[in-house]
Amino acid sequence: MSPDDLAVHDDAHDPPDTGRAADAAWFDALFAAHATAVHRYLVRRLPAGAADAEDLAADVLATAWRRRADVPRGAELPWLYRTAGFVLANHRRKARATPVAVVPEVPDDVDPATLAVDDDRVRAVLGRLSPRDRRILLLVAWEGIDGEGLAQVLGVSRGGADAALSRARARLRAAWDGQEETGAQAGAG
Amino acid sequence: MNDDGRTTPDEVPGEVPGEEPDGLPGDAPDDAAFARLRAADPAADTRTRTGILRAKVDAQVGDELRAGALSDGAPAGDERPGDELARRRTRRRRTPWLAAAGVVAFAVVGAGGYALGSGSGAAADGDGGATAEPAVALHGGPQGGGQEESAGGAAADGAMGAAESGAASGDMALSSDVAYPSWYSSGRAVFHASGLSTEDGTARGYAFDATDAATRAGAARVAEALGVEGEPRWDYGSWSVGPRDGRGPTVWLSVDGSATFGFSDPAADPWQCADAAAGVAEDGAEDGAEDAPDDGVECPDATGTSTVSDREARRALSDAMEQVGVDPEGYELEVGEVAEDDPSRWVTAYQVVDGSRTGAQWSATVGEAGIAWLDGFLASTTDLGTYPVISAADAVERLGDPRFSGSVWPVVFAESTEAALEEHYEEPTDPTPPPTPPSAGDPVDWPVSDVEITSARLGLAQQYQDDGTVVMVPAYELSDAAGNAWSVVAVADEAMDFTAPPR
Repeated sequence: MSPDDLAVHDDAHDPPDTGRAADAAWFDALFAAHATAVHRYLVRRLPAGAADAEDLAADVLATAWRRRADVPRGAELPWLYRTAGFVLANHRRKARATPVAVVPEVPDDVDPATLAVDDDRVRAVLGRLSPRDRRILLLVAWEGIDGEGLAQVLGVSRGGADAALSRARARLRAAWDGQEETGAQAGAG
Repeated sequence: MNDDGRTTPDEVPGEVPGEEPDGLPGDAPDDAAFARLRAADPAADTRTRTGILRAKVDAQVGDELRAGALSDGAPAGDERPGDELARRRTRRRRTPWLAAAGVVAFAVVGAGGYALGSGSGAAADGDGGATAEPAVALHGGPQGGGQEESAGGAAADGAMGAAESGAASGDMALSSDVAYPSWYSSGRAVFHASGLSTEDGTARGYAFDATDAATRAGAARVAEALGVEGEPRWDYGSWSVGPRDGRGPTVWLSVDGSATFGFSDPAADPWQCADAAAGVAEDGAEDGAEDAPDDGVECPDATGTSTVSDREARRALSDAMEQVGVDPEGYELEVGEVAEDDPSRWVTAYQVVDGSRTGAQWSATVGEAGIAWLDGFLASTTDLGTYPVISAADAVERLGDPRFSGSVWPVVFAESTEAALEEHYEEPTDPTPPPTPPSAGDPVDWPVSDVEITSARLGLAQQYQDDGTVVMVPAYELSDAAGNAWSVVAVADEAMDFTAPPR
């Protein structure tokens, strides 16, 4: 051991761990870069005025710290969104005491019934889409992620993500047009 | 992007020419439905209270995040998995997020200590007279009461005093160790000063200026300096340069008050984690299972012990700092010890201003092939001038003032406290009777500890302001005779702005 080592480790009862310190710096940077995005992701998917978004965002970020070895460097945000989806699904499950047996495999992290959307038509149209389509569309429309990022959030290939998005958008248009007709009829009647 | 750092859909990299040549699939200009969906963004006016959010994160993992090595520091046989003791150990050194002083070597030589250059040792043994005052850790946010559990399943190790006391009372046997501090179980305390100065004073404050650094041009500069090829793109709220799949050197630069940035070079990464992660991402089936994120992005175990010397590791970081135009003379560099089977070395550079560490730092992971990971900040440090500072005795009063006090929990635990806490938690062996119920008219039990503060140290604490700016403000670290330390901002009331932001 060199004198340098001895100097660094003089404080014997509390040996430093600069590996942990480096991890902490990485986490600080992650927090600085993405905490707001994570919080907004949750705000968008919870009922308007829900106070949970901040707590759930903290859960997501804390999970990123605990699982820091799993977080792909350079693609942190997609990982965070993906994790936020699971945290949100867990949160909903607890809130509703849904039996575990009926938990869908695709986390429905967007509940159109409670979505904080003022535009009733948008809300109605979202309600006619599958959870997966909703999830994809909102990631693109609100989080502004697409391409590789979307693939990483969904855990699929880039090509698969593009195709899924393309289909979701087609179904959104179809639902929108359908809603338009319904709305027109309702307005006329 | 807005000043709060959020990304709007119009600014996403997918629409940067050259990045996504074909645009979004099905992105027809006449797609009214999608446009309407975009416009319905419920978070359009959301303001994230990052300081509070960070405090909540720290309440869950803050100790872990700041504690330093637990496993390395624990005597053998102390790590029974899952037991209360091990959990408590994670609270050894409570240094919440504003501290960022991962390695605190208490060799206080008074103000005027000097930053070490890249070639010198980190003379923490006190005979060099060259170690700066450690940064003061301020509690980052409001006292969190009830984080009983977290999504990750780990207990809220950082839950503050009040939540702690309930857990501590019922299921654990008490030892009779006199060193056991009563505030540990009560979660409430009053603080009294003993023999501290009543003289007010002044001290300098500092701030970060990120206006030149946290920009597209700033990202281009740091990328060029570190040999990362490509044009900056606006990527999820920060500027990024380099391939998105993590298969080549990349730089990202956060548009925050410190101009935080990161650099990674997978070629120098002994774990080649990025490659593994990217490969897994491609393997997923299109409509496949939405597995939890831990399925897949497992980095392979790296083997072999680093042969990089302390000097080489230190030099790697100081060279990188110089390359991006930061003078390492303003920092204290410390190298972590060689860990068996760890193919990398960790180096940290602590910023020192006026003889005090500011809490801001750089760090690097150095492998045989050079720096694999680098984190730092690029904002310049500006002098805010002199602030009126309250006396140490008044600072103790602030510990009982809810405007200033974060928690009854110290920011630094004394060694004797740690030992006492460890002895305190013994697994109950025999069945225990239920508690005797209270009688009519019994007073309500509300224990409050009395803490005597016997010494005070004035240093700097990094403080993230509500507008995203970062200041380094005078702060006291206040210690009891045992060495437990609490912290509080030292700036006098008249130099503080107590206006609460509208919400």
